[in-house]
Amino acid sequence: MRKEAEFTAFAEGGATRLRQIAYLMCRDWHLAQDLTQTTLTKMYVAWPRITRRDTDPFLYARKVLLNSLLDHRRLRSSGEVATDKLPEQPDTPDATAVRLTLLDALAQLPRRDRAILLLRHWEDHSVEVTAEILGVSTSIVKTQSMRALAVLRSHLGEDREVLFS
Amino acid sequence: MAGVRHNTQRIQSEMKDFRSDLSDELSALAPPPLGDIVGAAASRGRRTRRLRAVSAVVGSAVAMAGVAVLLGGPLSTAGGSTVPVSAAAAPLPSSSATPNAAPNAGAKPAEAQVPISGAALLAAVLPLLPPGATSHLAANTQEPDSKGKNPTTSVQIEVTTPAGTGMVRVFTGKPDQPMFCPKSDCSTDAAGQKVMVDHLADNCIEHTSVSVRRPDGTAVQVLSSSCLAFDGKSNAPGTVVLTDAQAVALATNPLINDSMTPSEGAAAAAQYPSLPTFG
Repeated sequence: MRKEAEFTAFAEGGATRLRQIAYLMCRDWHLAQDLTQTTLTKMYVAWPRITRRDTDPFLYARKVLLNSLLDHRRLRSSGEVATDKLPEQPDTPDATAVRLTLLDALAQLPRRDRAILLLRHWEDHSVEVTAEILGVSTSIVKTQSMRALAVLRSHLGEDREVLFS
Repeated sequence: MAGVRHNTQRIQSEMKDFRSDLSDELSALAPPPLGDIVGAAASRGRRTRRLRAVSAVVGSAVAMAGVAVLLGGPLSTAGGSTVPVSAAAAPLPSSSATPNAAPNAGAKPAEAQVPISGAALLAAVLPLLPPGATSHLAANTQEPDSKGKNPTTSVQIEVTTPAGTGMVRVFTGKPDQPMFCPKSDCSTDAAGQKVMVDHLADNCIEHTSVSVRRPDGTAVQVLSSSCLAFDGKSNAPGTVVLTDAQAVALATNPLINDSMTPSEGAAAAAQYPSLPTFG
């Protein structure tokens, strides 16, 4: 029962954050919800083993979530449609339009670059932890992170002064 | 030196802005209510645990019955009858099984088919790998989504060959989306299976990736990695144990499928009663 209570406390504390990460990766709230539930289910099944390890369960959950998401999209052959055009924007960058632009620009990035940016700059992980979670080298994380930020800046164009001042 | 410091400050500033801007955007959205996602996950998790426990018990019973038959045969000579060699003792399917045979042409009995379990997929994959010791066996089963679609079963194996130890992952499922298969990267084999081979030099997990889509919609993916399983801290370097041709032969082998018979499931559960998951 203690394990059950521990899991419930962990899941209730982390579900919103997990779903946010999933949404930022897939831009689909329903898929994000499904993947979060799948992740928590796997966490529940593996909970006795996870808690025996001296690692942060959320780190494990995030890894399961990202892998589930990448696997899901891999097997679906990605419903994602890559485009080099951003949604039309009004000439006057009002506040709402600027806020929408960053999410849209993020969605233009390749999946892995998006994951790197989110882990590094949204989740605030070190280069090393990001590399471990994604199974890539630290140099890849560094170069792709810089490149992805540069792509974001170029997508955002003039708005970058507002967003990345 | 001042340039480096300036650059670091700029990056830190960008990170802060990125987070705050993204946070603002998320706050402005109206996500659907989270609902009792924790309760639902716990409930599904409990069901999974129960199923695993039941499978283990059923599998053990089947295995015991098999042993009893095997032992009973040669010993019951008084009756003068000879029990034929059990199917369990039949030779394993060869790794040279015709890769281009029609999908689902594996010699499966005409029992009802159910979605394949991790243990059954593992039992199907292991005999098809190059000779060598296997370890770090693990399996994941992603249950269907809220629309009842896209269940996925996957397994992970580390194989030690004379060349070194490497990791192989195999995924099966029946996605509801067609395979993204550009003509330049994709081919169709004699059995009508679409085959795509990818190499991601900067992603050790997906060093070699073979994706196959069969005419019946079954998707199989084989990953031959240049690193080993995540041990909680890192992915140690590994050896790529499958050549492209071997990875294609494995992914197109009709013995790798997304379904099984209940008896196959029970036998596999007895053989691999407590597979860990992998992340």
